[in-house]
Amino acid sequence: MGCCSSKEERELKYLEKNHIPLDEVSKKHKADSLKKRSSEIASRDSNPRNKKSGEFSILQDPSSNSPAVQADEVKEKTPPTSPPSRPQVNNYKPKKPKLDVKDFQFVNLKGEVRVKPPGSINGQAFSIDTCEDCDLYVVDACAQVMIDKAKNCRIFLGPTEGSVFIRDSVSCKFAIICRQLRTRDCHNMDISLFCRTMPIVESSSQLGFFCYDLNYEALTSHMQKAKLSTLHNFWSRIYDFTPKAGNWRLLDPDHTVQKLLAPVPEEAKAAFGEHGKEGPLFVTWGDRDAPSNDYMFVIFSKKKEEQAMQFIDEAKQKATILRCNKVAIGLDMATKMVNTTSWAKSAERDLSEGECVGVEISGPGCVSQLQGSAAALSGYVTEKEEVGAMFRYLGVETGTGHQ
Amino acid sequence: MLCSWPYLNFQVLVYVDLPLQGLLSLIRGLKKKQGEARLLVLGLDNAGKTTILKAMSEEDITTITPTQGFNIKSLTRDGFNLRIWDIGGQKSIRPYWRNYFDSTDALIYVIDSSDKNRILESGTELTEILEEEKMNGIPVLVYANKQDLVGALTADDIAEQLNLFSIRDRPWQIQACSAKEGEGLHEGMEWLMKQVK
Repeated sequence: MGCCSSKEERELKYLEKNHIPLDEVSKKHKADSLKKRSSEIASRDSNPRNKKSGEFSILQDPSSNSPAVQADEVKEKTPPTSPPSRPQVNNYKPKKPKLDVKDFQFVNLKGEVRVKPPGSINGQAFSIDTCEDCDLYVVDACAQVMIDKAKNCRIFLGPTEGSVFIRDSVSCKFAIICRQLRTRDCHNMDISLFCRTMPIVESSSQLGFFCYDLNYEALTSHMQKAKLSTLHNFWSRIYDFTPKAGNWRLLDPDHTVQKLLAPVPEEAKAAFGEHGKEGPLFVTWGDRDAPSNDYMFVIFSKKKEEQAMQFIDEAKQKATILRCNKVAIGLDMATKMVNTTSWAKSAERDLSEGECVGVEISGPGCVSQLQGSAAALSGYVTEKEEVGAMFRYLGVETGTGHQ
Repeated sequence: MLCSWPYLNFQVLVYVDLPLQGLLSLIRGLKKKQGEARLLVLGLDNAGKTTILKAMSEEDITTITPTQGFNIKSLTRDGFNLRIWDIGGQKSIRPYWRNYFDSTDALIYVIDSSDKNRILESGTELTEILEEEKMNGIPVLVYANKQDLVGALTADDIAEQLNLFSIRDRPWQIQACSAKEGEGLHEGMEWLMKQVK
């Protein structure tokens, strides 16, 4: 309703509805003035000096008597300079290529396999609506994704710069990489998740979560496009707006994306290219009860991200990575850390500048197995969990209070 | 945690018998003279309220999490002190919105223009806010956000679908914008500042 008709079409409808005669001459005159106006707008918009908002229009009060044709002439002659006393609609036309929304959605499908390969979405928005018994894969970077009324589907969503919002859906399996995850009125779903912020749950039940683990060929470039870092995965830090036992749980670590979405359609495998566990994304244990009592926290100062990644590569083979974060800690926290550990005083200065990468590790004998490598890579090591806890969710906002 | 009562800048001791409504107008008038305004940012969850708040403050938008309670920002604009309250929009916490209505000088209502399935829900929530006595006559700026996304409704479309032209009891404006790209926010605020000054 009204979402595709232009202002000009609506004005013509207004004339017809109000029985204002529009003979051939007037129609042509109107068509010409519309053409002139749109070319004016085009040239104004393309002039870099006119970077401000686009078309500034005053919609006619339908109860007025002046026909839209005359009003159009008046508009062209006297652009408004002072704020008019009537309500106004201020549009601007973003400089984006003309896209067909149908290429960016899966709607009303049943029992189908659909795959969007790399390059098909290219960082735009995507939506899935009223699909049942489907295998749906979006193997590309997205701006945001909305899913409504999905039932018994297996859905893969590539790196999303904004939010993935799942609503009114049941009995689905998801693999998702995103900045925000929002769920509302969802039931019985398993979600393999990479999430930059705290995933939220509302009015939902029987949701299961585990860490996203599938590396595919184009993943690195898609993560870059979505401006996501592999070091910021807070998949297990769930916030429930309507808390109740049974709403959500963390699933066993033997869950994988491959098992979740099996059987993966051939078309999807082709979109994935080479895929498997090896790649930039690594699995974290999250907030489940730790697998052993052995614990170590390793922190790397700024500009040691490569060393941190090397350490993570080794740690994931030999032990369990509990959690990971990358954030600036500032001098106060650096001092607190140094005072709690046996690190050299110079660590205070070192850690207080720029962003640090910190990794929490567990697993039998992990300390003796890894502390050598950590130190060789210039990481600061401690077995004190209280230090790891300081760093753990620093910078992961909870969205309350004064900033 | 949610704060259930609004924050008052100062206390007024009154020995004269003023009706409450008159007292509130007096306080509001005094505040205006001091060059302060309290703005309330509402809208459905995922509309982009917090992103708009952060973008206006020229801060990083990559760490924004769904707002569990509320966010407050203090900004100075044209020599005016703005205190901006951004309240979480999830359905389960919308009943708390009314706790923030007191002493509001202007409402900013944010809509995700690409979320066609929820335009009417958004309109209903806006209508309910405008029917509240505490929000009588308060100017409202509607941000038709996420214009950069494919399939986004235009500000015209949204004005129609939400029946904004039936609003006759207060100044209002609908501004197309993209918080992510920083477009349209400035223009909206310019209009709003004129109403509030």
